[in-house]
Amino acid sequence: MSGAREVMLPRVVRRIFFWVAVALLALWSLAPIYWIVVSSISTRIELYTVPYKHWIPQSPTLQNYIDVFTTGPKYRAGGFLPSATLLYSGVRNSILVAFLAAALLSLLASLAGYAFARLNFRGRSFLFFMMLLLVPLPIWVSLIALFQLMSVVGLIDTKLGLVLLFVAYGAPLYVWLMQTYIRATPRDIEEAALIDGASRFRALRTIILPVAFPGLVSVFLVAFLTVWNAFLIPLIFTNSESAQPLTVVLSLFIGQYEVAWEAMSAAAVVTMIPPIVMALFFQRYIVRGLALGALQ
Amino acid sequence: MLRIRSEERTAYLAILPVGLLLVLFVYYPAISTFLLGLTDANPRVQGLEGVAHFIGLRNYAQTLGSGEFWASVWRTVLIVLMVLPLELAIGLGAAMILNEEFRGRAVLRTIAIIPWMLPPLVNGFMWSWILNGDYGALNGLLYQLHLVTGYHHWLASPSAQLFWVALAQVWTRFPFAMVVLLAGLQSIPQDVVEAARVDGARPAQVFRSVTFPMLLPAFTVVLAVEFIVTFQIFDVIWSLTSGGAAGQIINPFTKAVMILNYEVVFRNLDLGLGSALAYLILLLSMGVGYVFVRMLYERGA
Amino acid sequence: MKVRHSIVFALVLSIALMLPTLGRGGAAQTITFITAPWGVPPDQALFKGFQDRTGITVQVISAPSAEMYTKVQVASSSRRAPADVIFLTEEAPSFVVAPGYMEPLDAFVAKSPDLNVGDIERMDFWTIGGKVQGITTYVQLVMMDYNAKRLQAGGFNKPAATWDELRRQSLALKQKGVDPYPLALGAIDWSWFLMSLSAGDPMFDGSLNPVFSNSGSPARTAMTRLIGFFASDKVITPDLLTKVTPHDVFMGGTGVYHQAWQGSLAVMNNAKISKQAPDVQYLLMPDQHYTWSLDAAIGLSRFSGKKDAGWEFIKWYVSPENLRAIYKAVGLVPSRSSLQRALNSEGAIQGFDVMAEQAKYVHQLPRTAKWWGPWTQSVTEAIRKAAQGQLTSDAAVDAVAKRWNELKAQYKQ
Repeated sequence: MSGAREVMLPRVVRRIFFWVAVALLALWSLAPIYWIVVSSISTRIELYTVPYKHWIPQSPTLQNYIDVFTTGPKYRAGGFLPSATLLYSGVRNSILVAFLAAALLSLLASLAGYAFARLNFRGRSFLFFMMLLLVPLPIWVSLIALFQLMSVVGLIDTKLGLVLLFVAYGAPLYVWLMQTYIRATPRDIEEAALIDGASRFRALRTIILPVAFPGLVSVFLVAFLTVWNAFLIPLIFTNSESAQPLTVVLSLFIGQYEVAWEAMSAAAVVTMIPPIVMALFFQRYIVRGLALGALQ
Repeated sequence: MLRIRSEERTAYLAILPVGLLLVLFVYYPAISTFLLGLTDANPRVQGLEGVAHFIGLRNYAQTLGSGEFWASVWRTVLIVLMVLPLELAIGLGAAMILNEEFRGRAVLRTIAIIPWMLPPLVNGFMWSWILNGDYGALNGLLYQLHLVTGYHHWLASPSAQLFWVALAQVWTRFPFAMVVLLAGLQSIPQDVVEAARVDGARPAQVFRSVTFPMLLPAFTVVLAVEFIVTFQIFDVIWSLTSGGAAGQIINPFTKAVMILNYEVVFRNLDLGLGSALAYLILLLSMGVGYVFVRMLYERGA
Repeated sequence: MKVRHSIVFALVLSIALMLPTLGRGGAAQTITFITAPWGVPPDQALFKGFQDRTGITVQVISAPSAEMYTKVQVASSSRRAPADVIFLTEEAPSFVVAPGYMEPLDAFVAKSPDLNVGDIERMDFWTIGGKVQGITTYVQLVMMDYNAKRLQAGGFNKPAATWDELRRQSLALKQKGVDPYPLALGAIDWSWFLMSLSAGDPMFDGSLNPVFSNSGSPARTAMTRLIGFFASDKVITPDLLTKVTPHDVFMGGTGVYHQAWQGSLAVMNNAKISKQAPDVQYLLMPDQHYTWSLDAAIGLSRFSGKKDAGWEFIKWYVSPENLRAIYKAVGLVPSRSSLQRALNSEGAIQGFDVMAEQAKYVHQLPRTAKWWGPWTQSVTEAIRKAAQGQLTSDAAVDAVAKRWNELKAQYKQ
């Protein structure tokens, strides 16, 4: 650092604090996850050991993984997965629905967010307010009426139905977010392009979004993960493999008398892999966005 | 004149898709449910052939006068007060760490998001296993590290139950705060920050007078959203303190407002009362959220 | 920009992948069956055989029981069938029968002599409002079991015959270090019901008045005893203050006595998942021996459009072959008396003798009362508050009686 004043900690100490913070963050995030992975390769009896110290299982087994991909745990607790392919289809459905919903949300939120952030039109405040009003709306409020509506239009137990619901119920928040990010971008280049005759949509696409790119990426990521974790909507509105996502499949490991935790944790590990892959994929784009922003 | 009209047209066009979806899937059912809240609908009492009667705002009056409702609100507020400061602090800290350049940053960024990828239901079950007083992993770890001499029953007291619910919620939600705040941090033009540093300001001062004000919009969003999400917490409470099997029992000590709503609608089948309750919860969430937003916008101006 | 192109491409691809499943045309005879996970037909070959033979395709919708009821209620209150056939657990009378969501089966039973309904036990429980609402699939008495070996280690060769004796044994087991928490009973309504019934309290009279609240009743003593186990004797682990059932605690090795169920030995003596294996045996309930049962059944949704096909499936589901497969898979004792006897003569049912003895002492609780569901919630809440010292046990019984009378007045109107 240049021009540092006297009362700053020596650089080495600051670096040490930094790395300690990094380690703490990693530990805080990973420790319970490590426990899940350990559970998924343990037998139930080993999980019951007192005092527990099997941080690496003494008799590790892949049986849980085999179980969750076939007909499920064959004992009293979890009963059966009604179909051996439920986990596969759960992964497929979750990925498709979350990706599509997040993509649609990013697109629609950018459009609407841009309108609220930059354009002048009658009813702007009113519409914005009416939309913000919906952010805290729990879907419970509308569940029974919504079910009736979805039945009438034939969207029960369809992936399309899920996507539409997630987009509708997520839109207020993401429009608000994009509006915030776009408002923060500088106007000058955009003004110049408009004077040169570019349309609003073109300005949005080629000028604003590149600058607000980190925001857009975060909207996509947040939307993806929120839909990925959704439980109540898929529970009520899906019935079968054609649309049931992973969160509902995971709940099937709740048995009549106890939770088949070792099986649930194996399924949970499987559940976490696609988002991790996606998050890794997105790292690169966040960095690219930064680089573009720096060119201003 | 022409320019304004084309701008308006563009605006309406941009908002149209969202607007249509909202009207169809959100407004229409919400209004329908609001009307239900003005009746005494209860399928158990009325049966299939029976008819619900219009009773105006009596459900609202009943809820507002109910001690159980306010106890439940208080419990939820306690959870919020435990969750928000912790979540925002950890989220901000993590965002600041990830904003620095260092080797392995991409890996850490991925690691830090992982808690968010766990569905809330599974999250609750995981913590209930870890915290188990007779064979749990936390006890095992502390015992092995010789920090305790015997196993402790972490969830024994009502206040402990609330605390662990809050902690489980913080653990799974902080990545959201981190991601949004990180995007906010990365949008801050570096030249302004550098200028302040060159002027000789210490890091804390730089943060307070330059970074944080520019972060305020993103911070507001996180605060408002997380308030709403936490106020409406359900799955974590369900699987950590109520579930474990077949879930018939609702734990009275962790009965937050959404759990109360669940009980009224799906256990008591009191649809009219439940709808009114849901709207009251909505009003409370909105009211406080609005206060936050106003507060922060005024400070930021 | 490349990123944009790839996003658009992915969008189009996703829509294309989804298209085949967007339009759904089912076979003319496809029915749906909604059930808790342990109700899923376990023998795939048998199941397929039924579907092939009758041409009826059965789509199974599985959900944990609380969530299953949520789905059933949401669909039914908008007057749509959540599924054609519905699995009914013991909470069903209050949750789905009382609001009228189930189709009465009397006509179907009358025209199906092949069902042999006389062989099926506990049909009286599922005859509500004078009509048959479900066909019993498995019977499940609430029972208790205990680890005989650990009991012996504490110096007791025989399990307790009275609640006083059970308490003395528990204190001794704790004191001798056999187990710091020898009783595995939850802080839940079931524990109190079990203790009250077995102590001889009928709980309710013929007009559904709460006689348990009479001064000096066995139920009051039972409540005091139960709260004492938690608060003063400390013979129950504090973890059971939050858990729904005590089973995973017991399976994890904590507890010598345990609130169990008819068929629990199959699980408790399974060495793969239970640390108490293989020493667990049933206990005949102490004092007056009475208990109640949590049988499950299967029925038709009032709003189903395929009731005849649904009925065929129901008949198959309660056939001896499927019930036997269910017993083998998940240990649920079949509702057909003939099958119970057959399994016992094969030596397939552990602890059959105690079970048969216990089955003589059944006093049902009025779970067909419409307000039973909401009321049991208040019982559990009262017990939990009392266990935390917020209520005396007498106050808890009073509160619970008061709530019963309130609900009764509300629903009888």
